Amino acid sequence: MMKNNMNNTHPTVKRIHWYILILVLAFLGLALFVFTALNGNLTKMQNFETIKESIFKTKKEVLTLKAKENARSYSVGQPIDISVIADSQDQDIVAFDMLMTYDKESFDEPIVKTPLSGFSAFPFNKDTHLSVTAVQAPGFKERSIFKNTEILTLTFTPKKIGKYEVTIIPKTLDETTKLVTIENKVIFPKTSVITLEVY
Amino acid sequence: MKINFRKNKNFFTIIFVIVAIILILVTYYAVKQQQIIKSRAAIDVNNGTCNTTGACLPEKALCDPNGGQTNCCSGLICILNEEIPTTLSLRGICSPEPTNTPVIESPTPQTPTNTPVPTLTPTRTPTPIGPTYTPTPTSQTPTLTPTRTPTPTTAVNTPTPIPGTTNIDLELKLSFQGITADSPPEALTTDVQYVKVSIVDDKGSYIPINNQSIPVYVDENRLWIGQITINNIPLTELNQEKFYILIKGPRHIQKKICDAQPTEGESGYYSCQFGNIAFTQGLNTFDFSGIRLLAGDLPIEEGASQDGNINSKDLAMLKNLIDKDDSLITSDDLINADLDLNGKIEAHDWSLMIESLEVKYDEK
Repeated sequence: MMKNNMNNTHPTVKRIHWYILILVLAFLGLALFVFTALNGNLTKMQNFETIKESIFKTKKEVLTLKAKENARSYSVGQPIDISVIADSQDQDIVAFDMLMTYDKESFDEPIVKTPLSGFSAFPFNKDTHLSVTAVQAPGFKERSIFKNTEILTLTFTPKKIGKYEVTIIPKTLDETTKLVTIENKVIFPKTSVITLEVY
Repeated sequence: MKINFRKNKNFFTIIFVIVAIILILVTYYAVKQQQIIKSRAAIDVNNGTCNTTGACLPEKALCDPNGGQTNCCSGLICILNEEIPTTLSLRGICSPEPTNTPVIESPTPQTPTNTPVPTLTPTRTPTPIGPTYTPTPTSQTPTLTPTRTPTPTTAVNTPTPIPGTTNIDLELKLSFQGITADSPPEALTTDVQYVKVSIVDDKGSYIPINNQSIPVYVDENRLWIGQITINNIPLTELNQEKFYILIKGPRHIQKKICDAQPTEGESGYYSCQFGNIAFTQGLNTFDFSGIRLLAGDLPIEEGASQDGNINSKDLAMLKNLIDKDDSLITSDDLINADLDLNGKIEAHDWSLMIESLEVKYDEK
């Protein structure tokens, strides 16, 4: 009875059935292909991102400035402690140079100290900028990997009212801000700026 | 269900067409995907990343000049760019291939006729010598080899001066920080060092010198003596102008000297502004041993020039060498960082460098 029904189905209906079947199979095939292709491309893109990241890894080392008091404004004559915070991306740093500009007419020459154990900081105030060189003493074997580590403290004393920027600059004509690893590898970190308001 | 192929001829034609269309679409999609990936890679190449998909690197893209990912596009080659930090692995830039090589004429070599040039061998072995060595700078052939053979420019002198000009000879006596008659107590590892000399007139113009890098030889008092010849100084300038001299030692910061016989209160702190040195025709002898050339600006790598100041690179290098096992110290390490020339890199060298940080920069 059933067979008869099937055989008696109108040829147009039969044809539609076939079309539907083929379209479903084609869709499945296409879906499978797209999935495979996308998967492969995703892997490629992931590799690409990894390589990109490794190339630009050096750019992740940073020196940032942070005011210790976390206040927004300061009064004239009030010492302002600014911390230089470093991230060395797991690299063991034995020395670094930091170049900084600030308004020399509005601030006294800053007092520079390093809280890093075994390190000494040597500031040099040039006409155009402040250059600080810090180094770990010979014989000091403790590793110094910076992870949001305070590496310098600079105490500025404002002389004038105003809004001022204190900036770590990447380079001057003959100097650069840099970190030097225990393997004598030189790293150029990202630098930053802080704005101070003196009233 | 039995299919009659003859009866369903149209049906199969339609199926064939559909399958063909699907295949065309799928192929088109796949090709499109590949193009998207390649173009994204090419875009990122311009942003400073590398090629990962086999697409060639366009002009100005970063590449590795030492091999590896150097697949710059046709007509481009990977050229090392010194401005790219050494911390990056890709330090080259895809640049157009030079179409023609410029012809550089090599200068006609001049044969020196009067001042013998000492023959120096470039490899120094730090064999200690006795402190009583007495040099004869102008005629000797030193047995000990210098720190590093400087790149000579041309021959030292020109026999006959141009009319209206004259040649002058300068004999300089120098003193280096950390190397004095009694310090270090050990014998020195070399009896010759190379210093760079520049001469500047009142107007701030540099007097051209054929070979700025001259050897200076140690005497029994551990003072260092060397000669330099300056050719074709205009006689008018010689009679009217006053000069200052800039001297930079091989591991030292540059010192500006304005006086013929300068002295200083605290070691290394001599400082001056205007030149007060007069030259005469023939030999001019200047005793600069009253001031010290401060050590600390190290030649960091083989053949590399000093960078004009004492910075974290110099300090890190010295610290790392002091911390290094003595048996691992090489002759190159000594050439670069043995500031007192005693054959060891140690605390004394460190203290000299820290002392020099007070001055820090080349004087100009």
